Amino acid sequence: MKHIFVFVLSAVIIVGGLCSENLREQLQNDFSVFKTDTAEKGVFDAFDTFTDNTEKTVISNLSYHDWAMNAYSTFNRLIGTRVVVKDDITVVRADNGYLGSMRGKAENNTLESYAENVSKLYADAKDNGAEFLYVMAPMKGYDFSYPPNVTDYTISNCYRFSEMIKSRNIPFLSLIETAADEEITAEEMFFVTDHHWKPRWGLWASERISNRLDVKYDKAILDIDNYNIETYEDWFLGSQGKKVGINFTPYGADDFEVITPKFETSLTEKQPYKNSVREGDFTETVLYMNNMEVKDHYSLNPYVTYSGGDFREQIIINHKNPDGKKIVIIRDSYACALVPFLSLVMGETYVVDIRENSGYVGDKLKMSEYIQKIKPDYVIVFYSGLSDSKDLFEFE
Amino acid sequence: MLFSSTIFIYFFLPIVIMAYYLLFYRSLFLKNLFLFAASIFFYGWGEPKFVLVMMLSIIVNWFFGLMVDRAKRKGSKIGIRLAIIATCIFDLGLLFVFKYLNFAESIICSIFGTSPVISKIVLPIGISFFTFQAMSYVLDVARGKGEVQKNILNVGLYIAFFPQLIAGPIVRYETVAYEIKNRRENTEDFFGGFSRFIIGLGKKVILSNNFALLADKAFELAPTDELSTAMAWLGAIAYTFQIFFDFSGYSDMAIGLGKMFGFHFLENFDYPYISHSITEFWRRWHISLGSWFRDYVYFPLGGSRVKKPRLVLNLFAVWALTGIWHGANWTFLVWGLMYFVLLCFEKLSGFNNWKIPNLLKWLYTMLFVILGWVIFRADSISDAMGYIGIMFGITGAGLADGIFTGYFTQSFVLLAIGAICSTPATKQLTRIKSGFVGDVIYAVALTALFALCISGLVSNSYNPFIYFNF
Repeated sequence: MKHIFVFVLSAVIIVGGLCSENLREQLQNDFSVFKTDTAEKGVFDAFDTFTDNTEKTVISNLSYHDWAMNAYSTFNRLIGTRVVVKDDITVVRADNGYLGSMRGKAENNTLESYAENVSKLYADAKDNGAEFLYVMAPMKGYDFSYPPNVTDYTISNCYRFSEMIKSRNIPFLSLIETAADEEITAEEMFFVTDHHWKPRWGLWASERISNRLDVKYDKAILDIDNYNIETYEDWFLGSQGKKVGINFTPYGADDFEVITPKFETSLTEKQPYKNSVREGDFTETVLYMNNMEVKDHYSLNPYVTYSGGDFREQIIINHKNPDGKKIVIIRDSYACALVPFLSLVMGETYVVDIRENSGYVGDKLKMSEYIQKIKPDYVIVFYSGLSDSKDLFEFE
Repeated sequence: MLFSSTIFIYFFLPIVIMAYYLLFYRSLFLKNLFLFAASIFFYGWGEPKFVLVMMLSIIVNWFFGLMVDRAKRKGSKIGIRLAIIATCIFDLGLLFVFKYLNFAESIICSIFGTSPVISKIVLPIGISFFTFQAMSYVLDVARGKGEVQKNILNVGLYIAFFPQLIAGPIVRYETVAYEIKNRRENTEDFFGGFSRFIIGLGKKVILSNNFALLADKAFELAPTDELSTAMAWLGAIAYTFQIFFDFSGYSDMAIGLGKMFGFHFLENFDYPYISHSITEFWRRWHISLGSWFRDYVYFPLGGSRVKKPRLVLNLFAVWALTGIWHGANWTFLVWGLMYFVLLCFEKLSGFNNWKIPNLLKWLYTMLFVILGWVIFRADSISDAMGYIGIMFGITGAGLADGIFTGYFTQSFVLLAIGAICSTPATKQLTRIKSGFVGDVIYAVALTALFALCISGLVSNSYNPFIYFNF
């Protein structure tokens, strides 16, 4: 009798998992891809891809996918797991319950070559009359304690790279050092479950960068007291949390703040490669509020409410500051939280992402040509600590 | 396709069960045909190119079976022998080409200082299992342990049946010969088989996969200067658990699935880690492989009913072959020969009659089992020796370090569960007094285990498949 109960209950679990609207659609999509791939790659290679894809599709689209992730994260916590190894990342729970991703030690030669490329970019900026600044955004975990069986070289890589930049007399602003000087902890600055910083620190960074560049602007624009802050509680399960499940950390999902100016704004946000133009106020242009319409821990990324995500090129025109300065920002995803606020003190903001990414629309831009074309007042490189992607430093 | 995959659990198995029992149940021929087709699909899902290799094996061994039967009916011993020789040449030849040819070439090249010319040959998954099963068919027909199958479909079903196709157990033809044509499915087997499947799935997804992370970390650190003695032991013990739960988990799933379709496979593991001697260990570990070599190699060579020098030679043959069956690397041969030495010692010294505490016997057994797994897991003999050197403090990063402390504290609960589940203690739990309350508790517990396994698969946790050598 007991075995019959087991079978019946398990059958309910199996059938229940398949009751998903997306699942059938995604499987049909996988089959279409298989047919296309067969013509391009041959049936055996296409079939290999198809079998891999269908497994991932089923896993991602089971009706109780989120519940299953959360259940396993609870199990992991119960048995004392603090390190979860995935194909693409190792997520660790720090002593304070925050999640971190471990990075290996970067080779000196590699860092030197990056620093050399930055030096060349600096020279190009100077040749075109632009003031240059390399900004190192803080990296998560700069003051975290991790268990003794993992070693994270993120911060030590950053410090070594900082010395290389400084030794080349490249204008440099380390927000890691600035945060440390101002006694801002990583817990205050970062999400528990995501590798990014909280949006309010993008506003903070905008002020530090503007002051460092000696930009003339109304200080009220970057004063957080002049912003409305709407907090969405338990809203954001970040990149690290999505890998390990919501209960892997005692805090669950993060709260998420949508910060909008109390004062009037008028902007145009353009993405030339996508033929996209958005006009209106702050919320209508540099925020993508569609990411906040629904709470979905595993499918949505509220962080890209700010700036919309990562794009090859994004241009923001500030109609409230028509005589304002022109800035080119060469960036990674940490700039999502920076750009909306920094664009309010500039006249024109050109945001460029030079990474190799098949998801980007448009070819990679050559920065020397781009700077020559745009003729900015400022060129900043805004990278989170030191990224692993070597293509981030291939400016040509 | 793996049992521990959502495609298998959510699609393949339910469809096969429904079609088998709703569409084809009334006809044994159709049931067998369907199971054979499903098995081919199962294998082809992961290895589409090598389906043809398996089909060739089925056709050729079916033919050899007919040859043996014909020779038997004519009373021709020479005919039987020739058919057996032809079977061995074909099946072992197939195995040699796919599994050992590159290795053999590398040995020749290192002896003569030449460069390899043969491209890397991809090993079809499960070839070691289905080749041995195919040979078992012909050999058992020759020995009179099973009826020849005139219908090639039945031979195909025996060789390719998906529950034991890629990871065993090695089902002897005599075990299932009757059931291919005469089985009677029943609800007790069906539902009991499914429960057994869940237990196996739990061993694989929850236990083995988590031990794998720990073991892989230790072996990854070994060639660097960062592995301490304590961490080396922790990694070795983790691998000891990983391979047991992975292998026995797969066997449980295979046995359970077989029962669901009316087939009764023999047990493959009997709590090997409670053994008090190496002899006992090999009566409890991978029983189907041990008995295959015993019946088809050891006994035909004379077994133990020979003089001591011949006994040693017989053991050498069996254990060298057992080692090399596991993979084309010197490590597997050394692992097999380690057991040869230990078994010779036990047989010739009368170890089982020694009056020493069982605890000491158990420690002796587990010491060599764990060391054996280190050799088995290592990529080379030098890696294995390096690792063992660290285990005994000869080299390495000291006695213990933060890496060990961290991993030990994080895996303590898992180690405890692993230790308990390696003993028959868990068997006692399933013998809860039957009655409605007992049945409900059992059902809830096993269903919860199933749900946890599903969540483990969904979280896309580490899910290694360690039979690529087989």
